[in-house]
Amino acid sequence: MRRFVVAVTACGLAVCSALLSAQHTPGAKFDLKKPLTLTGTVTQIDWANPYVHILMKVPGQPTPALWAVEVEGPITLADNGWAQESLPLGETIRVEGFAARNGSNQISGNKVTLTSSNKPVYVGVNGTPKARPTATGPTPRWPDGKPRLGPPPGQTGYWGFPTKHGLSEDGQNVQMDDYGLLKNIADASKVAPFQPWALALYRTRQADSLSHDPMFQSCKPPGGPRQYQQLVSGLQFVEQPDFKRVLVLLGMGNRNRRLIYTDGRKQVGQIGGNDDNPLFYGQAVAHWEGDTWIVDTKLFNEEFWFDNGGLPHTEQLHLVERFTRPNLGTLHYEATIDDPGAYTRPWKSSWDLKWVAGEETPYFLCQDDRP
Amino acid sequence: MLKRLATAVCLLAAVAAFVATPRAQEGYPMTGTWYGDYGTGAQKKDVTLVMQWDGSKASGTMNPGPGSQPITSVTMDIIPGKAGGRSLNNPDAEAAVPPVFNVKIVVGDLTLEGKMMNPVGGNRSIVGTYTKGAEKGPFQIKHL
Amino acid sequence: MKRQIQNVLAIGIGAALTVAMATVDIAGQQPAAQGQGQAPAAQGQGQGQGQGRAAGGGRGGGNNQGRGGRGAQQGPPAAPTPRWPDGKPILGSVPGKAVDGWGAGVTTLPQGMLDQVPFQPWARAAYDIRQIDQFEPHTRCKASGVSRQFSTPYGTEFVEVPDLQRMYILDNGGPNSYRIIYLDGRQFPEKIEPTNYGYSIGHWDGDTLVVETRGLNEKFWLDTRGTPHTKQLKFTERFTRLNMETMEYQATIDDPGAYTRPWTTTKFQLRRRAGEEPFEYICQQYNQGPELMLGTQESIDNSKFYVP
Repeated sequence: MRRFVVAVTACGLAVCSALLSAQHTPGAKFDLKKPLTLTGTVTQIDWANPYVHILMKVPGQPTPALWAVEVEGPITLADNGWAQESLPLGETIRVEGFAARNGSNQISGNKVTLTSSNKPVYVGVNGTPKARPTATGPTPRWPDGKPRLGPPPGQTGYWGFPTKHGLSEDGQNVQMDDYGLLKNIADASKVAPFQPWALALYRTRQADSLSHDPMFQSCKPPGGPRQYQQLVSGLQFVEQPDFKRVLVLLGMGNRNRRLIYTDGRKQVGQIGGNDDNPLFYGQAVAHWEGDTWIVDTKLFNEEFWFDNGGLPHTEQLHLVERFTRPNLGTLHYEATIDDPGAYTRPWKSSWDLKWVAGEETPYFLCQDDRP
Repeated sequence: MLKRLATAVCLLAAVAAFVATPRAQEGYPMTGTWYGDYGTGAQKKDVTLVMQWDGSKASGTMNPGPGSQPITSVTMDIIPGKAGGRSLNNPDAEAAVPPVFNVKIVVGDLTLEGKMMNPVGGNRSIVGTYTKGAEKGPFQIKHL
Repeated sequence: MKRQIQNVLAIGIGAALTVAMATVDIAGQQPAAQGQGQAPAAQGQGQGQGQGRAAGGGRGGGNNQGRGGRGAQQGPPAAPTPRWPDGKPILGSVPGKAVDGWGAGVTTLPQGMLDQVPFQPWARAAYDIRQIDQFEPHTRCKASGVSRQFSTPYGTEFVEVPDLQRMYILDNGGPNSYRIIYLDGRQFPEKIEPTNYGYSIGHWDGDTLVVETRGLNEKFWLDTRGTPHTKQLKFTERFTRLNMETMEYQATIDDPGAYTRPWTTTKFQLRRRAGEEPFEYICQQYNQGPELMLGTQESIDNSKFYVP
């Protein structure tokens, strides 16, 4: 498990588990300057994406108050050997974390311990965590020699575990946490060749701990490079040469499907649906150049973040993504951001995704826990 | 038209190792976790009820943990509604009257009797009167 | 303008409209008149996108039901069912041709048989209440599985992937999501984590694809009218492509949590939307405020204090 990013002192003891889950950097919701410790009786467990919440009653007058403890999401918990049943109702737990920024009865579950046994629950690993073997082997190919973006014949799998979770220009080596939050906000200007207004906006979003992320707040989709920055779950490409298109099945956001056309069509607005173009996922067309798959996307709207870390973009964004699959287990992704509305020149950011063989995209739904 | 009926759902169960019920939003109305209180002033007590439905019987526990008690019985008395003809095309017709769910929960010597508010909504609640021996007073529980 | 209608619905006035629609008795209408009822000749230009969208856009709130019949013409007889080389019917688009969609066809599972549905008393009462005053989860952008996929005006696309021995059913509109139907002969896993679309396995019974789905959670409605279910539900669908233009759909509901015995619906029909590609529809875009997603209405506050 990764260490919690902010000062270890905030957590106290040995293992401070990062809230490594699907949506927000911890500071987006919790005030990392307000550590809090509470003890309560477990009343309900809301085992849902994007985060599992333990509802516990904390002694008070005249009656106990209900508090919500936010721990990791169900996919991460399950991978680490936890289940809903791991924490029986009626147990007393001691929770160390941080208070919610909005003052509500919420606490982050950085450390959750059963008072009866002093054993941790929902934090760290329970027994043996799920193994993640690396898929090895040569690039699977179609009969015509082109690399497959999906599984070898007769198998299944998905792409996940990106090696980078936030955009930053290649070669700049800017340090960020797993959610794209800069470790040092002074590095902001190094991240990309911003126009001044865009840098100011980026700084504001970062200083705010990304709390106004539209995906976190209202489950707006992860358009653009963001869909390849997933922290949990993943995505699949279903190539349909008979229909000259590739279906992209997302495990991030609200489990949307989108299309990348390979028929060379003009990128124009769609009719129907979000017919007030432009779109969240843009209009994407793709072609192969040798073993590189090049996806060209235009006509993005500005109602979402195209990056976990909140880099701005405008409707002028022209995104060119290059995919290569040097072997079975690796998808190399390179995004060229060409957005004269926000940046002074085109720039690139790249990372790898890993193939998870034999499994479907884990079920993640941003709205899962919303009433 | 609905028939008036009392669905007596009695429950003998021992409290087995309890499996937490997922938050059932749109299923059987009693399923899930209810949290609230009964009594007033200094005598006010918090109460947690966790229930499941197997298709014919509701079962569950009050106040899971030390001091938990099995729920003795849950009765749902459904008062039928009335169909109405009101619509955009017919605004003067009678509005439909929704059915009403009256609930009675017995746990040992504690009885909670009340009406379910917003019975098919996520945050449904039950409001009414409790009796416990000679005590009597208001109670309210909310579905989590 | 059509978009205005979408926005109006999104802001919650649509609740009243949905209610109004629900109380209109449409029992007498044929399922084939639901949805768009467009003749297959409505081809688009260039990209093959169709024309003539009726009011209501891609939303799935049932607001467009019962108003169809426009374009349900007596044309020439439909072409026969297209088939794969092995003789099985093609349920989706014909390879090498334009992509097709399937329009809506299911408004309400108890269509034409409401009083014969073996509701448990609580389920019938819940159904009645939902006709009056509940915001269905689909309107709150919730992914909604099985039969509910076939109630949105712009329908679905069936994507068959023989290579992977599966079929996807893509939402067109609504939650803009997808469902997986495994066709590789597997068994249901012992433990299924409940989801909005469930776990579906299909097998062929002659020319009918029989799909059984388990592991459905209770976070959505099966149809626009809120026919109830619990997580004990085992839902079986029978898809039969009668000809090029028509898919017959019938469902069996086996849910001992809500019904006293399994029951089977009438046969519905979905009409082919020739040359209609799926479009992007992001329901969250039209949420002018969080109330829609959180389901707040009148004095009923459905928000959860720990979300987001």
